[in-house]
Formats: sequence, C-alpha cells, structure tokens
Amino acid sequence: MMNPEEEKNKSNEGQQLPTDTTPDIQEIIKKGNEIYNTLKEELEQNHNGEYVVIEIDSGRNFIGETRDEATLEAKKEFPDKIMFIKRIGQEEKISRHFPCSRHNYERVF
Amino acid sequence: MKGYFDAKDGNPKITIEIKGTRRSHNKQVTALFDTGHSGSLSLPILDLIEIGAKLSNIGEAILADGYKKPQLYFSVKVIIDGIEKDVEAALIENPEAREAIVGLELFSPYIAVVDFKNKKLDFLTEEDLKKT
Repeated sequence: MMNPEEEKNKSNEGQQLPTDTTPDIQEIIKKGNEIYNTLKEELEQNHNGEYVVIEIDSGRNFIGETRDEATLEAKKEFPDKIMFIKRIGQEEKISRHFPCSRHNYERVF
Repeated sequence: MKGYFDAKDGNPKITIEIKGTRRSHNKQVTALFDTGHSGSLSLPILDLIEIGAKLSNIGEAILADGYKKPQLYFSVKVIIDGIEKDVEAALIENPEAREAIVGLELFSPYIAVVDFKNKKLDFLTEEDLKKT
C-alpha cells in the first residue's frame, strides 16, 4: 500500500518537465546590439533620441518616441516575447538616485 | 493632481498607484519626482514582485564608473487620475531601495509645475494652466 506522497510521485512518472523559459539576458543583449548595429546609420539619422525595440529572432524592430510607445507597438505583434530595447544614438545612464554600484549590482545577480 | 515636498529630505514626491499581473492587487507607492530621469518610471524590486509585474524588455545601462550592465524592464499599469496607462518600469536592483522614481514622461500630457520657493508640486492640464 502506497502513502499519498508515493501515489502522487507515481502519477507524475513519465511526465515531461516544463521547458526552461528563463530568458538568456546576455544573448538578448548580444543579438539585440548586433541587429541594432546593422540599422544604426538609418536609425540614428532619422530617429535620434527615440527608442527602438528589437525582437531578436525575427529581427523586427519597432520605434517610438518614448520607451512605452515603442514597447506598445512591439507587444501588438509579440505580446509574450522578451525583447531588446535601446535608446537610439544614446547610452542609458543610471539615475543618480539609484543607490546601486557595480559592486552591489554584481552581488544581486 | 498634486505632489508634495517631503519634509524629511526636501525632495518633490508623488504617490502613484501601480498594478501588475496579480488581479485586484493595486499598490500605492511613493515616488521621487526627478525631472532628469530618463524614462517614465523605475520601481524597487520588492514592489515589482509584490504586484507580479511581467518582464518585458532587456536593455543596457551605464553606471557612473562606465560599467555596462543589463537593465530589465517590466510591464506595469499606472493609474493616474483614474486612467490606466501601460508603462515600462525599469528595475531598481538594490534590495534596500524603497522608493520609486518617476520622470516627466509618465505624466504626459500633464504639465508639471514645480514651485521650489513655496514647496509645491502640481500637475496641470493645458486648460488648468490657461486659467491660472
């Protein structure tokens, strides 16, 4: 006679575990930057200071005046995808109010 | 819509309501109003967890020492004057951070009037502004 825990384990036998859907952050950044660099000239000439969201598998890109606008457009086509985002022609600086240094950033991740 | 100057640190602040994927779990957060803030909203990690915010975008940001780090953005809804707005909130990684940061972008189309002398922070519509 099996106890309830053993029965539960038995009933799970043979089932496939869910696929790991954790995003590869470094891969998204690497591919996103590669695609951005191929579009760089056109984007920086015509949309400097705006935002671009890049879906790295298809290479599709979506531009908006704000981060929210660009994302809203991208999510219409790729609602569940985690995408790469970049401010066109500019680097995003961490706010002076963020109490975060390289040291404590590396401590968290 | 009104903000206030915090008597403790003298900074302009506003209380906003945020919502993630957890149904009927809205949260009121105090946010520092930073006119130089790039983007609309940054939220502490604990607030994002509490409302069940969904990761949506990944970018990069530069720290003061030039180190480039991944910057995670989460889809949240912000309720301003009863109207829901979809916002990409940047994650504030430091687990000790308790305060959100809002930029001017979040309050578009409102006009922010910061009166440092009288310690007043108002968000006006164009119509309100014409009346004053």
